[in-house]
Amino acid sequence: MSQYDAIIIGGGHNGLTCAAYLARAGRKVLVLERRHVLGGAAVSEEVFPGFTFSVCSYVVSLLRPHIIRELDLARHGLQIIPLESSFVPYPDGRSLNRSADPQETRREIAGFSARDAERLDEFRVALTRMSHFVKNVIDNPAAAPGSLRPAELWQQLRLGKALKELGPDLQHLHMQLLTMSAVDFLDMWFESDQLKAPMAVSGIIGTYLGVRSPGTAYVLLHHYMGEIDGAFRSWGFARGGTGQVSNAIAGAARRYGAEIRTEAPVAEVLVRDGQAAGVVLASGEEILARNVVSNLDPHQTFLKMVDPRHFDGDFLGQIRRYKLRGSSGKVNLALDRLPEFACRPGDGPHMRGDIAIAPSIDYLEKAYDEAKYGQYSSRPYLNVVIPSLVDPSVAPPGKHVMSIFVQYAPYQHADGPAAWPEHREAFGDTVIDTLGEYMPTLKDDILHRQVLTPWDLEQQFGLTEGNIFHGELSLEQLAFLRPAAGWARYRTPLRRLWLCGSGAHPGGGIMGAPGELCAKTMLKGSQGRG
Amino acid sequence: MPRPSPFHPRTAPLCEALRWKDWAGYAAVCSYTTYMEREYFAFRHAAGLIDVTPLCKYEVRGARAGEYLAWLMVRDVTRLKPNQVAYTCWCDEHGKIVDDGTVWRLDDDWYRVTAAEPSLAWLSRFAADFDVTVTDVGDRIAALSLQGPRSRAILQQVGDADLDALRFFYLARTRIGAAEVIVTRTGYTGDLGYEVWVDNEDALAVWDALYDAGRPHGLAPAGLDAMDVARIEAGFIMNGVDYYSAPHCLIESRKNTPYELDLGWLVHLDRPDFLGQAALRREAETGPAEKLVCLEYDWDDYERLFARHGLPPEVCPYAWRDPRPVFDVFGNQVGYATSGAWSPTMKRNLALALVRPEMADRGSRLKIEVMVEYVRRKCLATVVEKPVFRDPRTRSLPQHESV
Amino acid sequence: MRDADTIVIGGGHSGLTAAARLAQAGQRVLLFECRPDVGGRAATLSFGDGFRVPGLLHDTQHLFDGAVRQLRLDRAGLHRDEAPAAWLNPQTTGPGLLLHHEAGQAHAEIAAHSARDADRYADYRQHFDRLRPEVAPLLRRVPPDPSAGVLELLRAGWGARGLLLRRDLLDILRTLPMCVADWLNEWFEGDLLKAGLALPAVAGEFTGPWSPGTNALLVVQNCTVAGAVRGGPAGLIKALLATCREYGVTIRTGTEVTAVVVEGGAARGVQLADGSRCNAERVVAAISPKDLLTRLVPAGAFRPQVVERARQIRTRGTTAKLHLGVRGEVRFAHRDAAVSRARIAPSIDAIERAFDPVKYRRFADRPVLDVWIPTVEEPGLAPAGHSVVSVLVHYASADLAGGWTAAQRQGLATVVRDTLGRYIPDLASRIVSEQLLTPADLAAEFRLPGGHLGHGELGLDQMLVRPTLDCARYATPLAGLTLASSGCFPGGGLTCASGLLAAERVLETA
Repeated sequence: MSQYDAIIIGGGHNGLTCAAYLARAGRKVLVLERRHVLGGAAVSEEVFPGFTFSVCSYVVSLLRPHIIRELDLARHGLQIIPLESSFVPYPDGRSLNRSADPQETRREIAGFSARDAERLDEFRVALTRMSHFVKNVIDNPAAAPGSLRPAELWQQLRLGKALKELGPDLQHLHMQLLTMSAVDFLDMWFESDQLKAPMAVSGIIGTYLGVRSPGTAYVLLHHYMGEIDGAFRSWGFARGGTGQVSNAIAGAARRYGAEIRTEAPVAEVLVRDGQAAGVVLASGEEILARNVVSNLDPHQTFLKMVDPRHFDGDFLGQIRRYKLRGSSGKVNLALDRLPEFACRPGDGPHMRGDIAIAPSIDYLEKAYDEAKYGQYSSRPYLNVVIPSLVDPSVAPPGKHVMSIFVQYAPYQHADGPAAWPEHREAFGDTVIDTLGEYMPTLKDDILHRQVLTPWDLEQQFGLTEGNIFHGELSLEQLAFLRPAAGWARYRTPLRRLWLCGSGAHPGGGIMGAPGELCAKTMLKGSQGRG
Repeated sequence: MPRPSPFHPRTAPLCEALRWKDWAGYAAVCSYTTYMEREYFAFRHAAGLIDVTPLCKYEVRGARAGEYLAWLMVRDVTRLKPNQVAYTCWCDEHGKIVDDGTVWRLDDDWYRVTAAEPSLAWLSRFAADFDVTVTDVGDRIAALSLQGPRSRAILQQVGDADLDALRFFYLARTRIGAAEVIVTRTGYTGDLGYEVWVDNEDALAVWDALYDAGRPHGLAPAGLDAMDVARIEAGFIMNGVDYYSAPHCLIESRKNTPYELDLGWLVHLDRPDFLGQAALRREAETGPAEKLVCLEYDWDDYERLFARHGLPPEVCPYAWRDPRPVFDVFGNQVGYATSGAWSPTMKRNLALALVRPEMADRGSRLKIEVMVEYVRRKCLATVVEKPVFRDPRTRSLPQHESV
Repeated sequence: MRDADTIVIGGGHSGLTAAARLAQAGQRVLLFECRPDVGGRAATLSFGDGFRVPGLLHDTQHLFDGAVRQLRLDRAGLHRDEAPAAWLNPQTTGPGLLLHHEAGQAHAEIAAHSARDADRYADYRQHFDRLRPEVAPLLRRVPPDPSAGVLELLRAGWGARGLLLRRDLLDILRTLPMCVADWLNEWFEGDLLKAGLALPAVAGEFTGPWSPGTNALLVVQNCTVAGAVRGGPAGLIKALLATCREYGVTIRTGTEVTAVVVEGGAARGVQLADGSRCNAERVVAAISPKDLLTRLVPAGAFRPQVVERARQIRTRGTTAKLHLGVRGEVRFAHRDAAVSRARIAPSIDAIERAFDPVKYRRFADRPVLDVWIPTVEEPGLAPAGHSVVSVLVHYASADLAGGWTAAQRQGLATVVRDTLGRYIPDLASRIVSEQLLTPADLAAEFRLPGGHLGHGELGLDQMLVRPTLDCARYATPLAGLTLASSGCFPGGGLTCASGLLAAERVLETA
């Protein structure tokens, strides 16, 4: 006799979102988390006494506003503080700060190119209009091209209509955005390398691609999705670290009656009569449920949690060639005081947003070139945030935490992934040295440092190959192809087994969308309860 | 020309945005930078420091001071313990509200009253009968409001008061550096916060002490714009915006009673005579003619209204004060909203509105006018629980807080 | 006074095709070519002392059958091989891999490197054999107009129904945005095989095998490949020229067009370098669309956006050309028989590493090479007892940092010779003539702005909407002006498809 309507394997933010939605609809839900903390990669941990790090994921990007509303996450403690600006220092002592103040931003950019400063507004308008269309895509389950079922045709018709409303110019731009490289796309608008480089990086975060790789233009849109969400301004810090996102969702889930167990690692999915029937914990405990939902990545889910004989060869083939290839690492620092940039000393708005070490297109591309052949970048792209500046709850007064996202650090190290631990400290040094070129006092201010290589991300957080998005966000792994052709609707070939993590449409980042859409799909189908 | 407050030498250089306005005759900062949200978030996540010197301040002294104030106010301030502070409002003899503010009991015969509007005339009008003196101390006492979860830690660093024991709506007399100050655990943001009252001559020293101690805690100087958003989240009304002082109203319909403004909880009816008692007693029986509620715009509907024009939903980046009609779902006007704001913390679009009492229950569905692309439209809205922002830290003492 | 019904600018394979088709339909056609001979990138080039290369480009295997049939090129002497040519990916230490197109023939050679690959190769060919009937026609018709409305889209959908209703549609869609490296890795394990198959999908482009989207080009190429034209590109030009003559096209070579003449809002002729002017009902431009739209059409003839989009066409050249006249026969190491075609690309990563430098405006110090030894089939191209080696060199930046100085040219020639020398024993000592054409030379010589040999990079976006949104169906917003070069859909080398489709569009509306 099943105790639960659904068991969710993994208490990441998507698993919790899925649980909350199922529980909200009256289903009896159990979430099983392997670690002692909830959140998966969206987790806050007091790594050093007094210093709380958003250990992995460090900014809240596209958390869907309707999820915040529907689950009433603010009441459960979610508070998002918008990022104030984007700052880039250059080796020549100049710097650029793009802030929330459009006039100020225009003045800053005009310092490099008056033309670019004007073009930025046109660019913003075009991309914002396209985001309207994309919102359609990420807020709905993936379309299924080629299907002749009326519901599918209807959805495609609706998408087609939305596309048509864009008009030929924007349709074309949209196609370009899908297929072009970030640099090529930005070249159509801007001339200054200093502006293009930091803009282009949003296209490569978490991917194993360079800014000149076709297909990277698309993620430029994400920065403008915030505008569509209107006042939601989705780019920000979660107060108390990104773990608070997970905690708030968990709070909502619990309020709706979901049960959540930590330190309850699942060993495998129980299969009975050809359908998922529950899970077996590492402790040997068996828990039965009518549905099993996996918040793990597709490799973990289909290659480790379930006996492969339950899947056909074609599906397994698709999953095996599903690419994860982690490309990034993370360095978290506890700082004795606020370090400062040589080019713009002191505290200021530029310190309270995200800081990019992305001084030129060539710099970024060279960083990628090294990674292609299995080396971490000798001068990597860094994305730095100092959340303690706007959220003093994460560090003792006057002290700071600094989170440094590092790309590239290929999981497939030339010496093999398992060689990463030997390279870990040298990798950390490279990161500190790189940032130290712009922040001369940084090294002296470091109290503690935590270096996470892609290998560590895999070992500690269960992210296969250290991929932060549960699979590359390349076109051939998106929408109706995520994670496998024909299985992009959260269902899996094993009946009553579902996938609700970032390895499902619409993919990674702290969006919550896969979890929500999975739950809604389950509820719509007859399998939700019975 | 509005005059500078004693903090002006500090606030002026910080006010990069050059955004000022006249508040009760003082030059007051609207926002220090063009990015007001930072100041708002300082209230919610760290601490915001705001110059509230323009608040009107009066001292009421005399053996019957308590009795007098109890007669003047709807709230029975004789119940105040020494060092206790009370939020209250006062009415005319028809029970129509004159102003709202706080009353502090500094000693048995010594009270202080803060008010939004100059109230010396009103406060002293009947004073002689009670043999009390009312003095305007507004020009002598400067005030800073330190609001936000870090405010206690900052104040603890600079003063010697036992803040861990200072309860919500109590005051402490203490020192900051050499300056003697009064710290009240009050504020207008709905968050943990304190107000520091100091003689003008010590004002800058107190500012410096708080500012320097606060920086490592993320303290930001904050302006009125940020406070305005916070007060709407907290459900606090504002004289001159959400209601008008009765003696200033040309027409009856403009006047409001405490019951209408959801301040019925302040009114202590069952006690000796006080100003407006008879009228308020009648209203308590018959019920108010309208009721202040907090409305939340239905976001999906709001989005739809904008989407019709191909626009993303836009919200006003600061709190708005231009009144907007409120309708029932059939489109009949049933009230009006007086101010509102997008709540950056709760992610909700809010308005304070006065509506017909039968529409005022929580969950009641209404419509509110929205101007979209120069067209007046009606957006669905729901009456929600007030305040929308509520955090236990606002009222609790540290030993009761769970970390 | 009209000098012709239609003026065709450019006497490359597209211009000749368009001219022949229009003349075939009865128009009076006048064609201008600025070089002394027609043929453009397919023309025979002479170098050194009596050496000739029958075409700047090597590949004629994607020639559009429809063009051959429509213009009856076979009657004009065009012959095609039965099957696509075999090529060798040589090794320094072994016999390399000689890959025949047909799986049965290829089996033994592949099996010598990997038995698994040998079997998989048959599936690989079959994959394309099945795909071809549905994909190839889509690449040989005027692309649909996305703004034309539902009916047009339904029509386009109906035209592609074979593809859309395939059970493996999703998998096909999956493969298009991929990079060739990933996709070929799904199929094969052998470096020589993978690299040899990958090279054409990135050759000439500003992409490496790890660049997403390159697989689309691989699919397109494999769905259109057929036997090569005898005599190479020059053989194709010969047949086209004969056809033009037969239908009465007037061809004026050595005549530079300096501007398109616009009258009454329509293109009505051309201005020539000698100051004279020729009038016609319409103009068909079979030259670089970027050059035409941004330089030859008078300012104001287009909305500014049309010109702006034309400026944004990406045309970065990454290919250089080296021609060698060699004493004696050219044989690859460890190979007894003469081989006429080779792809020197040791591995996918070697191609990628050769690509890396162009991003920084340099050239590869270990280039990957597409080698053709035309004298194997046609000894007459060289003096007796000599051979011609024609090499397409990947990658070298057209916009070289510091410019193409003599030292840089020497440097590039040296690395190419050295690379060849590793696979062709005692080559260096037998070189009697050498001609290096840097991408910048090619840009200047063949009027290729940016240096891209196909008038526009074949990134997915520029493949689908080619050359620009305003001109994607050959007609331009200026009445009377039509584009016909391979800068238009479908692009991709010497296909004659754009020339023919442009002419058909003209005839539709004429």
